[in-house]
Amino acid sequence: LGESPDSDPGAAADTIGDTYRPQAATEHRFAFRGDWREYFRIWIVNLALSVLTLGIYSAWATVRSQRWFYGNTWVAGAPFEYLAQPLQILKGRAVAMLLLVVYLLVQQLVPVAAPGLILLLLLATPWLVVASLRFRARYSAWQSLSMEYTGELRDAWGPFVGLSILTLITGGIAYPYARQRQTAFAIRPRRFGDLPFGFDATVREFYGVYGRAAALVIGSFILLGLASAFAPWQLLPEAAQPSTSMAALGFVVAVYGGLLLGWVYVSSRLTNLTFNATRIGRHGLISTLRFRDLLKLYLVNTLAILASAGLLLPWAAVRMARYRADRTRLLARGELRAVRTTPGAAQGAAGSEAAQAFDVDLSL
Amino acid sequence: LYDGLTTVAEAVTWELTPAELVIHTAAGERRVARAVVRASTRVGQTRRTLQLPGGAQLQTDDNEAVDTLAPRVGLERLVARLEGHPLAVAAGLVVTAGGVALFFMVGLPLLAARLAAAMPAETEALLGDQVMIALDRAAFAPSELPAVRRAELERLFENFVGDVPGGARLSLEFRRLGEDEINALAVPGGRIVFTDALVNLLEHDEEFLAVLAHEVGHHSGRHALRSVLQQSVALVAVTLATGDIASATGAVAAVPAFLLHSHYSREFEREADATALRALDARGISPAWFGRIMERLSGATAAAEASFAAYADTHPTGAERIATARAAAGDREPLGALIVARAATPRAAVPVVSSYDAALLVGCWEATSSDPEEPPAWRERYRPDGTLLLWFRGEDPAADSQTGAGVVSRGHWALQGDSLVELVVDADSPPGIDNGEVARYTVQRLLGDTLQYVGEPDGDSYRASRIDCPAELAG
Repeated sequence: LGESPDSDPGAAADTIGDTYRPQAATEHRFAFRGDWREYFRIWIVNLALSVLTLGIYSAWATVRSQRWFYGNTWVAGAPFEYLAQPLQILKGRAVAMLLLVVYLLVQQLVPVAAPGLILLLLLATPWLVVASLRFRARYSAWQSLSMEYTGELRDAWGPFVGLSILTLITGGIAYPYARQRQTAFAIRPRRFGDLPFGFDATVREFYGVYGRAAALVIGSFILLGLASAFAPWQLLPEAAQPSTSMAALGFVVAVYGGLLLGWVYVSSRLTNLTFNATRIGRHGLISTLRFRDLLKLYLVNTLAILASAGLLLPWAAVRMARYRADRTRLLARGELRAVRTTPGAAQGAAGSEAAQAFDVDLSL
Repeated sequence: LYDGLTTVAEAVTWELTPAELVIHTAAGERRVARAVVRASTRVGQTRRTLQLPGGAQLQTDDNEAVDTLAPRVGLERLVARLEGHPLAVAAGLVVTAGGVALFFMVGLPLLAARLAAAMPAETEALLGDQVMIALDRAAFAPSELPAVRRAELERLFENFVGDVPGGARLSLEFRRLGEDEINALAVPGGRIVFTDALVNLLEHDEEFLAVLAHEVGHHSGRHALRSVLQQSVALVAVTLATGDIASATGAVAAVPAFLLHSHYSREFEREADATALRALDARGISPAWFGRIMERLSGATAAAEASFAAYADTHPTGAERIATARAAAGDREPLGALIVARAATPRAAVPVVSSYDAALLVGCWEATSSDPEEPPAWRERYRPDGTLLLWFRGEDPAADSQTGAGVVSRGHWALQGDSLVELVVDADSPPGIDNGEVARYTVQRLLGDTLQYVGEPDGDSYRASRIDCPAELAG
């Protein structure tokens, strides 16, 4: 078990409050050690079994794939562990699929009722969020100890229902505020043994990230618009110019390109902001994802997956996991030691699965 | 070794005896019966955990040793072995590719068809109402077609759907769509919607019926319902398959979903085309009409490039559909071609593909003309061998009505494209008949018991109704 961390003693003094005396901090790098060829074998065999069992086995497939990713992510000389059992996932998945099918059918067959359904989904969100946060925390372990999530359902109504409505009413202006409250709700009630989590990113910082992303999107629209207006082919004779459908295609590409830039920017900066603002006891996290790295990763991954008809999905997933691990560090102040405080109890998987299937965004 | 309480690891060594797991710690030796140790299953080369009684855990990278500790035959153990076997990996590739293809190409369409067939008509009608309300709100504007034109098409529609199974549930509606988009839709529950722009594009009633037959084909195949079901299930399946690693791929999952959508749409269009061609054939309307309107539609839509792209996405290529219709019409052309060669002054050396089925013309007709100088009524018999019999009451209608006699002239007939060609070659024909001269008419309607045509180049119009062949035209 003696894995020696890349250490950098004394790099930073304790800056979080004055309750702790200043002490040497040690940085432990996260590392992803999995080989994509190994994951490819796991992936394809489990996918084939899922196909053969008409999807029933997919719960086992999910568990094995999660265990592989957790087990290959290391920090401070120990890997993470994923502890959920396939049957829990299967039950949750059955419920989630049922909900998804009902949702799609209603949306397609009775479009008039779709807004009502979205309202129902909004009302169910707090439960989904709390259940899935509990589930994920409970079945994530490091050094034999599971995380815990102690958030209460009643506290989820404000951030997830109230602020969603506020976001709608304000036409999105309140969105960064809502995201800050939601992220805080997702992180603060966590515990790792006797180490409580803390989160101190401010609303102002969230507005900063989204504001710069909006500027980036608008700026790229303007640039791309100018580029097409003054494109070199404008000088060509009429007949040699690209047809109108080509121009329309160019417009669509420009719009999606601009939105992609904004999305990648937000996902890199928000991850950094969230990780850097998270405290685990006295310890902290450092994330230094870079916008241009992430953009390159997404583009190359997407091209590789398309060109290989999906066969390079495992390669792409491992590349992403490796990059994220490489850019994350654990800042240990003092001994990295946590003590179990409560005996474990079971929590169903329905929340986690339903949340995933409906793509309710849950960072971290 | 973890004590189950803290995250502090103690480095230990361990060994297995036949009955026990022996752990050597700094403090001494701990022995645990093999039977009570729970080992995690193998996933790749990741670290394994041995759960010991009392909450303690032993974690190790020695996968081989752990495998001997837990030699149980279990599902995950089998899977772990498969994952390590190159042959199993190859088989996995084949099974996955085959299974996915089979599911999306065969299984899912079959499942959707079964489900759609099981859905009660009332439910579908209810759904159709909802869809129509939504479309009216979002996309449609009221039709601006003249009421006369609508009534005319309504009549054709009633005639057409009269003997279609379930035809009583079908109804015809007209709407404007967007910037005068050319389209026809089959809305679930039996509504068939024609856009104004499409109606204005139609030159012949047969073309209307061709498009109508296509939409009726969508209805009898319950395509709207099936496509909803297929896409819903496909989306669920794609989500399931890519959900685990979707985070790495972003929007990639949308690509197979999109491809599936257009694949299914094309299948449905082909099916509706086939149904339409059969239905037209059964009513004696040449499938060539279908090819003709498709040709015009792709011509019109090619002009509006953007909407053409949208059309081409979900429909088979225009050329393909036109060719199919031509092939279905193929065996009816020789009759027209034969006569052209016999006519005195054929206008075109190469016979034009007839849009009208010449066989439809065969039989006896009573004709009237809009030209006051022409006789008020006469009878014609078009025989299948291309010969023609004309019967006039004579130069003086008043005299005829007393004698009941008349004059029969002989000649030839042919259908070239939309042109009806008649040639009287009969020395005994009455003076009013232009013996030996080719007369050309443009057929406007040849449907059931009605025939309408216009003389070339004078533009006189003629109407004829089918009659039982009278004695004077016998033989």
